[in-house]
Amino acid sequence: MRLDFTLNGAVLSLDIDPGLRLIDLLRDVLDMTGTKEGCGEGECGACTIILDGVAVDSCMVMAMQVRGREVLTVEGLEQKGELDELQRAFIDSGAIQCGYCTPGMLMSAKALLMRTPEPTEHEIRSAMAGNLCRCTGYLKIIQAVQKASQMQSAHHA
Amino acid sequence: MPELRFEMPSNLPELAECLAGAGDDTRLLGGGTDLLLQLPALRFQGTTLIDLSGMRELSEMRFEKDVLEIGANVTYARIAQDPFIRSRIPCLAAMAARIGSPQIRNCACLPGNLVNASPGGDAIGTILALDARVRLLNGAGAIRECAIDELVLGIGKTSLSRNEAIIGVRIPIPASPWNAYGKIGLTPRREVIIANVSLTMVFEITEPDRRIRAARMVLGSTSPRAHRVSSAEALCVDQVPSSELAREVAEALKRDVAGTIGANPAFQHKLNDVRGLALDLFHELFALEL
Ligand SMILES: Cc1cc2nc3c(=O)[nH]c(=O)nc-3n(C[C@H](O)[C@H](O)[C@H](O)COP(=O)(O)OP(=O)(O)OC[C@H]3O[C@@H](n4cnc5c(N)ncnc54)[C@H](O)[C@@H]3O)c2cc1C
Ligand code: FES
Ligand code: FES
Repeated sequence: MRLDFTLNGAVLSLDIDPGLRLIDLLRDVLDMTGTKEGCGEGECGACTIILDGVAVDSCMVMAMQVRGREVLTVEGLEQKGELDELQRAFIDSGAIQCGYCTPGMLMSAKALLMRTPEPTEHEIRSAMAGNLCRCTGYLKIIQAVQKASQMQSAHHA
Repeated sequence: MPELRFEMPSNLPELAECLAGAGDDTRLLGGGTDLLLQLPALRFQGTTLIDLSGMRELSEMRFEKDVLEIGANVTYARIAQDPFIRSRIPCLAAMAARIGSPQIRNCACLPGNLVNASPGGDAIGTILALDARVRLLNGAGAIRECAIDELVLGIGKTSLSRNEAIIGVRIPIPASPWNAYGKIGLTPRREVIIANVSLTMVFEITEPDRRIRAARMVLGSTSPRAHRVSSAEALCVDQVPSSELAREVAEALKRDVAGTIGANPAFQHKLNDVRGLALDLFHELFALEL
C-alpha cells in the first residue's frame, strides 16, 4: 500500500505492507535501528518517536497511520553532523549506561523541550514517566534534560 | 497468510461506506493502544482495519448550549490539557491525565476505552458519572445516540453492531465544577497503572447555602463494569458537605465493594482503597479536615 510521510525532514513515498507497525517500518524496512523495541506493548517507551510534535510509542502506531504526517526519530536529532544539545547533555551527564532506553528517553525529552523549553523537575519527571530504564536510576537522565534546557537557553539568550 | 487490509475514510460519508461493508473480520482503529496488542492475531486473520486517524472532523471538541461534544479522535492528552475541561469538568481532566503514559495519552481516545469495555477502563466510569451519551454512525449514514450503560454491557461486551462507529461523546456540562476523579493502582509506578479502584464523584450544589442537590458516584475496577452506587449518592442529597458525610459516604462505598468482591481474599485490599479514595476526593473538593 502507498504511504507518503515525512521522516526526519525528508519526504518519503513507499509501498508497504499495511500490517506493519511504525516501529517495524523504521527498523525492518528502512533499517533505522536507532529506535528500540522493548516490550512491544506501550509500557517501556524504548520505541518513542515524535509524531507531529508529540511523543508516541512507535510500537502502538500502525505505519499507515503516519500518512501525511511528520515523524522524528533519534536519527533526526543530529543536525549537520552535530549532536543535538540533548544528546550531548546525556553523554556529559553520564545518563547512559547500556543505552537501550536512551533513544526513547531522548525523544520524550525532546518532545518536552520543543513544547516547554524551560521545564520544572516535576514537568521533566511527568514527561519521562512512560520511559523505563533498568540501569541508571533516572536521576542522571533528569539532570541531563535540565542541562540541555540550560544549554538551549544560554544558546538562545 | 491473508494480508491485513487498511481502509482510510476521511469524512463521515466515507466512514459510513466503510461501515456498510464491514464484516465480522472488520475492526475500527482509533488510537490503537488497546487494539495493537492483538495485532498478530489480526494479521493472521486478515482483518480489515478502518482507520479513523484521517478524519479531521472527529478531532474537534464542540460546545452546544450545555453540552460538550468530544470527537472520537480527541486524545486524552488534549482532554487533560483543555482549560475549559480542567475548570468545569475537572473529573474528566483528572481521569484523562492518569491514563497510561504521556505517549499513550497522545494516541488513545475515549471511544476505544468504552468499546474495549474492560472492568479497569477508567473512562467508562467517569463518562457514566457525567451522564454522557455517545453518538454512533451506522453504515446507512444514520446517527443515533446511546447512554453509556446501554453501550457497555459487560467485560469486553458492548451493544455496538459491526456496522456502527462512535463518532463523539456528548457530555452535559455540569452546572458547577464540583466533581473529582481518583484511582489507586495495582503497581507502585506513578504512571502507567491499571486501576485497582477508581472513583468519580459529580455533585450538583446550590449556592449560597452550599447544599448538595444531587450526586452521582461511580466505582470502577470493582465489578465487571463500572457502576453507580445509589446508596452513597442518596446519603448526599440535601446535605452540606462535611467530614461526617464524607465518612458515611466512604463507608457506603466500602459496603458496595464488599458486596461485589465477596470473600475473595485477593480483592480485600480494595476495601481500604475505596475508603481512602472517597475521603481524598471529599478533601480535594471541599477542603474538609478528615
Ligand atoms: C501502556 C498502556 C497503558 C494504559 N493505561 C490505561 C489506563 O491507565 N487506564 C485505562 O483505562 N486504559 C489504559 N490503557 C488502555 C487504552 O489506552 C485505553 O483503553 C484507550 O482508551 C483505548 O483507546 P484507543 O483510541 O487507543 O483504542 P483502540 O485501541 O484504537 O481501540 C480499542 C477498541 O475500540 C474499538 N474502537 C476504537 N475507536 C472506536 C470508535 N470510534 N467507534 C467504535 N469502536 C472503536 C476498536 O475496534 C477496539 O476494539 C492503557 C494501554 C496501554 C498500552
Ligand atoms: S517497545 Fe514500545 S513501549 Fe515498549
Ligand atoms: S541505560 Fe540501560 S536501560 Fe537505561
